[in-house]
Amino acid sequence: MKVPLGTASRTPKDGGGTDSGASGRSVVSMSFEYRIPVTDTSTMPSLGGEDGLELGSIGLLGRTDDSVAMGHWFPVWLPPDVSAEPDPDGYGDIGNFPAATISAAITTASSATVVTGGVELGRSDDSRTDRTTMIEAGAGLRDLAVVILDDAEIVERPVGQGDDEILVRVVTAPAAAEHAAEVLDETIVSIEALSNAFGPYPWREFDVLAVALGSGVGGMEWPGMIWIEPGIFGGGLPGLGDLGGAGPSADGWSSDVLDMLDMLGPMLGDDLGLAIETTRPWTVAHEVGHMWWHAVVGNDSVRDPVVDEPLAQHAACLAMRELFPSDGDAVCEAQSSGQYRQAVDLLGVQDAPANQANTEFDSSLQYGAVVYGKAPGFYRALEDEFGTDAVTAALAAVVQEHAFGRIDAAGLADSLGEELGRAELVDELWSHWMEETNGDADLGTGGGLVPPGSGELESPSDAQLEDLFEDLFAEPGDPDD
Amino acid sequence: MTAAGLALVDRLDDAPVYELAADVDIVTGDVSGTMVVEVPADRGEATFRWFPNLPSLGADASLADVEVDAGPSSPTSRTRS
Repeated sequence: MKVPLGTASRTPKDGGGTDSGASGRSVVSMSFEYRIPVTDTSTMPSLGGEDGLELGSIGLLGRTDDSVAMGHWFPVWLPPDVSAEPDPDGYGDIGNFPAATISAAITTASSATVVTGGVELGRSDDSRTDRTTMIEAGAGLRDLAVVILDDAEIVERPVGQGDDEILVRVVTAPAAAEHAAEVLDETIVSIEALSNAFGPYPWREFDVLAVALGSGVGGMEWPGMIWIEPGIFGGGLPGLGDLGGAGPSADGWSSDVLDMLDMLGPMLGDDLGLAIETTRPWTVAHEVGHMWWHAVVGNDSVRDPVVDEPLAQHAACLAMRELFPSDGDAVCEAQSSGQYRQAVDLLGVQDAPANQANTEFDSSLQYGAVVYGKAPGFYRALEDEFGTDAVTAALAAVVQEHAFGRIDAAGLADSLGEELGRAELVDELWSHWMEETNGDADLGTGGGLVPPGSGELESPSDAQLEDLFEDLFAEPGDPDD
Repeated sequence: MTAAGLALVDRLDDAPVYELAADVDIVTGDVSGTMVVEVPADRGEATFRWFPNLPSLGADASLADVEVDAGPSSPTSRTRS
């Protein structure tokens, strides 16, 4: 939507005046109405079709029987230099919004719990209508996501000290509350690790919620808030709840799941078991990583997903080294390079340049494999050349320089080259990992489902793959289960 | 914000400022709201992403009462079929 601004506009923050031109401001007002659609969580994860991660079905603005989730819920102003499509296309995130000061008065049933990416400034209860208005606000936010739960349980813990103390909260429906303490622990480890790496988290609160998301979506970041898909929140896989009761308990994974992994191991490679076991802490760490790489330092997720997604993966790798001191790098490998290998070996995905708009990928699977799986290898290559401490310091310098601003792919590569003092080498590595198609050779594909030349396994037919996935993702109680 | 955030807050001097209000029915999903936003006016128009209007959402979204600097305005929109 484009609104003509005319000639009379305000000077910054003066609340009036008629100054126009480069430094002028305009006040745009409007009213809006819509009905939040029901989030469809029943679809089997995509096997690579064009429907995967379709923007209208991934739950950014959706509801269930007991909650509503509101991201991108109001008209958001787009600066002139971003890929400003009023109806965005492509895969994955679409955020490319400038940091802003946002306040919101949210009115809903008094019995409900309202959580936003901001902080609560006040509330008023109307006993006559049994409705409550919450005043929420924040500065430096690129969006103000809102989740309203009919019934909620909250666990929380302060992190840090003095003027840099933040409150970390995990908010769930009662049915998922048993997992909240574990999620809180994983979140705090990630926040502390990434604050130490990239600089302090800038807001007073950080909220984690279990939110229904569309098929194939594990989590979503918003400034000051992350959403984790309920299946993952419960320790299982997206869309699977807790694997029909077979998910991890205090005693570990059930024998059914371990048997399944043993059966699939030779087909899918060694990465799969570790990836499944660490899906939740990895997803939490990835979304926490977005606080620095998309929330604090913004980028155009449509045109430059190569900026924030590989960095969120790299951030998760740093957090895994803290959370799993003996296995952190193995988890990182399984969750990034392993994802690429599985997509190539199991589903026939082809490599592609990582540095392209999300609308340019052949499918959501290719987008995921290349941007989330292959591209983070750039940062491990940097670590091999310069050492972890130097790379982390360079990334912290990028955060400091661009906090509450935005950066594009070329700007990121240039900044890293400058900070690391060897621009030519950084540029060479950037081209290798982000612009070229070296993924199969670099990450060692061909060792999974169909080892080349092994003669031990025949390539499965599409029908066999469909059967495999239907078995994996069958709802508990299905007649065929 | 934390002290670390406040140390950077002067970078927001030219940032957009939103004042939002929304009434949300969590049973039906109906949302009605208002927005007042102050944005840079160095171009002749302001572009907004109106995500609820994405056709595949089926949210039956509508906008009304659009004003600029307290005067009526006629926004234009584009939708992909």
